Amino acid sequence: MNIATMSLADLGGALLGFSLTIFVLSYVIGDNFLFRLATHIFVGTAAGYATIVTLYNIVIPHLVFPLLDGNQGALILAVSYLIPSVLLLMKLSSRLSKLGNPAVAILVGVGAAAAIGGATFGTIFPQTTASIHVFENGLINGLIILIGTLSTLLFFQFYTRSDEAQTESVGAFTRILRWSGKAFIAITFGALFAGVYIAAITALIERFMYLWIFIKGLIFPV
Amino acid sequence: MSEIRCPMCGKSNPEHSETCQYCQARLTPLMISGDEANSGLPDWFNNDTEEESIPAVDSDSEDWLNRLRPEDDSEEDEDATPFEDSGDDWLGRMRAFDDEETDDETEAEEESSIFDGKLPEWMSSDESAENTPADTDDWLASLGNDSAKSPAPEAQPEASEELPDWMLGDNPPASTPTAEPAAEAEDAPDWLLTSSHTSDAAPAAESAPDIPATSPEAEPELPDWLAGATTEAESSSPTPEGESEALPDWMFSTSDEQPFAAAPSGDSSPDDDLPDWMSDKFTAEKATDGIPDWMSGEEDETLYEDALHAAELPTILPDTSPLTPDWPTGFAEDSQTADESGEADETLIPGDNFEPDWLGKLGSDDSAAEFFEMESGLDDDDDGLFALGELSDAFSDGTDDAPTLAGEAAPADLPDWLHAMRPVESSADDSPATHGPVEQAGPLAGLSGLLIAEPEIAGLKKAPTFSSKLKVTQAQQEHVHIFRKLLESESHPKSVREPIQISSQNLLRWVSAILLILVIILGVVSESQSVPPPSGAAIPAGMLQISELIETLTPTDPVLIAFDYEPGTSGEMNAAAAAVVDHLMLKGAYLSLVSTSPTGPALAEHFIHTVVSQHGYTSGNQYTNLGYIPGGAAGLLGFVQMTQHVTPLTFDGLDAWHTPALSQIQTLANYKLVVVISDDPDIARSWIEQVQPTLQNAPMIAIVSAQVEPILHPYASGEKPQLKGLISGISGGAAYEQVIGKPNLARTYWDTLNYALMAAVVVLLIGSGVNLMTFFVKKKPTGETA
Repeated sequence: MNIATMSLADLGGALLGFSLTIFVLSYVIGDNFLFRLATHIFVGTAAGYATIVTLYNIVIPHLVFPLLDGNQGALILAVSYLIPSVLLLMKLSSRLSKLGNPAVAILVGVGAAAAIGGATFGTIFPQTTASIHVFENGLINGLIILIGTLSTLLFFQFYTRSDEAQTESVGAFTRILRWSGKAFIAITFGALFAGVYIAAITALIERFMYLWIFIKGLIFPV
Repeated sequence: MSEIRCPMCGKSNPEHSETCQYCQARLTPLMISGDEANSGLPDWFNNDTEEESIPAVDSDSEDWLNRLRPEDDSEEDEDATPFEDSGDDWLGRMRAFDDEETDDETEAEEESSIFDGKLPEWMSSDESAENTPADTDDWLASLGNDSAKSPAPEAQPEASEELPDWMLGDNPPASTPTAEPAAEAEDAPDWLLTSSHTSDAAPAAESAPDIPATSPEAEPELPDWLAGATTEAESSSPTPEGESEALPDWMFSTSDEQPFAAAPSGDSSPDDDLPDWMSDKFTAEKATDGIPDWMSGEEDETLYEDALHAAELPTILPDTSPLTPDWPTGFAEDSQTADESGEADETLIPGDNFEPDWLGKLGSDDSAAEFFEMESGLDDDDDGLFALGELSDAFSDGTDDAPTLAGEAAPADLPDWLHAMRPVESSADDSPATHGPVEQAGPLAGLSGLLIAEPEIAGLKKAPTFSSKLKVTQAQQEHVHIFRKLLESESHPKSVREPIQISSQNLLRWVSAILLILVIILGVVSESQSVPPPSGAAIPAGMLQISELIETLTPTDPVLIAFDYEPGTSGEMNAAAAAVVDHLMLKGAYLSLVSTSPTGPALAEHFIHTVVSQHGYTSGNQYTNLGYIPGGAAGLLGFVQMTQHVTPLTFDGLDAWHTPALSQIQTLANYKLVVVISDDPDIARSWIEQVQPTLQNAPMIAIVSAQVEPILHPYASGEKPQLKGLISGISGGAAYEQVIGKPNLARTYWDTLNYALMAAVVVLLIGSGVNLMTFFVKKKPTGETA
């Protein structure tokens, strides 16, 4: 980053980025005004940006242009978009909110159907098929995957059989499997946490790298 | 007499008092006057009153009462001389009849006495004395007819013939008894009267000791008391004069005292239609004057009858006594004899020596003499009623009680005869079974047949008092205690164990933060490249597959790159994807940029223009930013099914599908490679689930954040993985850079990241050690305490 060669907009953007980064990093000393200011700016900017993107990428191409284009097919399709969209806006009024229920119903129904279908054919079947062939990747890995899967499933088995004395009776083998499932879940969560930590450290490094480049450009303008 | 003794309480009251001063009982009976009295009286009474003015000599024998009144009047005029002459001798004549010696002269005298109106005093009254003697003929005749139940049919035609001698006048003046106690004269007829009511065999000779046989036709017209008298007259007969000596003195005392003559005539009201002797008033006067009770009203008769019944007089009287008159003896036997013979005069008179047993007993007892002496003493007081009462008591109680009768009764003591009248004794005789239980207490004591209170009411007890406190058993108290504790435990929130306050927590946080920041700053500022990137066996197999796929691409091959990550993770994602995108650009692939996040298109533009800016990619020539795909998974599905329709325009507002590279794209399967760059596992999975199945032979690789790798790793492993390659985070980017042999942004961060990870591991180890030491330090005192 060569500040000397940067335009004023880039320089302002760089300064704004540097300042907001400092504001966010100020959270290390606790919640403060600078952190909240940076957060609010970010949320506002993101919302505004999303609105503009939606307007320019969704409303105008799919609703305004077909109505103005004169293509009857596109017009009918645009009207079919327009009616549920207007009804969906009725949700803003408590008195007319019921008019928006059909549009919401369509959205929820279609979304649920897409999610269920995608999960069924994109996750359950492929993952089940992959689990059948666990031993193809090696016996040890296969055993680990098998034990990990079964023990994790047994861990979420919450029902037990009670005897006449109303005491919980769980077999020792089941308890061991549950404990194993618990261990596998803990390892998974540890891996996820490590990934989050790595992602956070990477973001921090990137920010420090940005600051270092900016500062280095100020200090060393060449 | 100056006092009147109350018949109820027995106390003395002034003479003219109408009510008792002590018990408020009425002393003077109410007088019925005029027509009122006639209306309630029998016919023979009414006739009597109507015929007051009828001459004395009247053929109607039933109107004896009218004739009785003038006789009394005549007696008053004559100064009671008839009794002196003839009226008192009836007992003596009874004696004479007893001897069955009929004296014609005596009969004549008696008949004349009747016609003269000289009836015995006991048959007359004060008012009757004013009438002429002839007035008495009728009733005496009728009396004789009534008494003719006994066989004497030949005596019917004339009344004078039917009347007994003793009722015909003052014939036996010589038989007038000497002055004896008046009470004796009063009492003798009493018990005789009583005997007439009880039985014919009783040895009581009533007022008609010598009643002759009368006509049976007149019998129904007689009043009861006269009928009784006639009945007994059948068994009685007048006593001759000569035998009057055998009579006791008390039986002759009435003549001396002249009770009828002494009765004040002025007391009787002229308006009274009834004879005084039938009225209560007259009865009272007679009682005060010592008139025998049987000559008074019916009420007194009944009273004395009861008293005598109670005393059982015949059983207690002595067998023999010189004072006992002879005439009463053998009444029973003679009455039967009279019935058999049909001649009253001869059969009804007992013999001279005949005495009833009770009279003999009375005479043999010494107390009898005292008794008569007492009676004589009572004459002085002229308290006939009291004397009669005491006499009845004396008879009832026997000789032992006689001395107590000498004096006056105590004011508070009831006479015995009143005691006898008390319902206590009378009801006591009744059977409880027939009359119900006898009241034992209270003002109704002695009465039977009373309505008794219900057993529940009579047996009322004091209402049980119940405690106001609730009686709770021990078990119930325990249950209440448990329930109360349960409620209290619910109301109180469970105490949260406060975290251990470590004073050095803030210091440790600051130390950790400073340490990490210093390491990062040190790594960035140092721009170190000392840490080697993954290489060799450390490079995952998926890296090689991705490299091989990209190596197979030709220039202008359409490659779809999804920039679905947020600005916050742009640093990591850019570093991870920089090597792949750079590799694609090296191969000259035509990039179609798309995103399901609103910020995705902008990030894609920023990525193209900053990260891989060295390749000089421009929009519409080397790449097309298709912009934003709304709807999430549904939008992805629509994008898969109607690719050009969902994203008709580029992010710049141009027609997206009219470029040469994208003109052949109808579906996503027309893309040579689909690259998903995402920091969100759900979005990455949506791409896998919605798009990958429709890609057919087009491979899909994923460049994800390090935190998404554990989730997407199953999709990239296996025999037929859904993801042909997976690059995650800085390490994956650095590894891929190592594969393609071109260091990039990932390599720049690689050393710093490793330093930061090392610092983090150190901090974690230090923190774990401190926590472990704290655990053992706190456990030791607890164990010692335990």
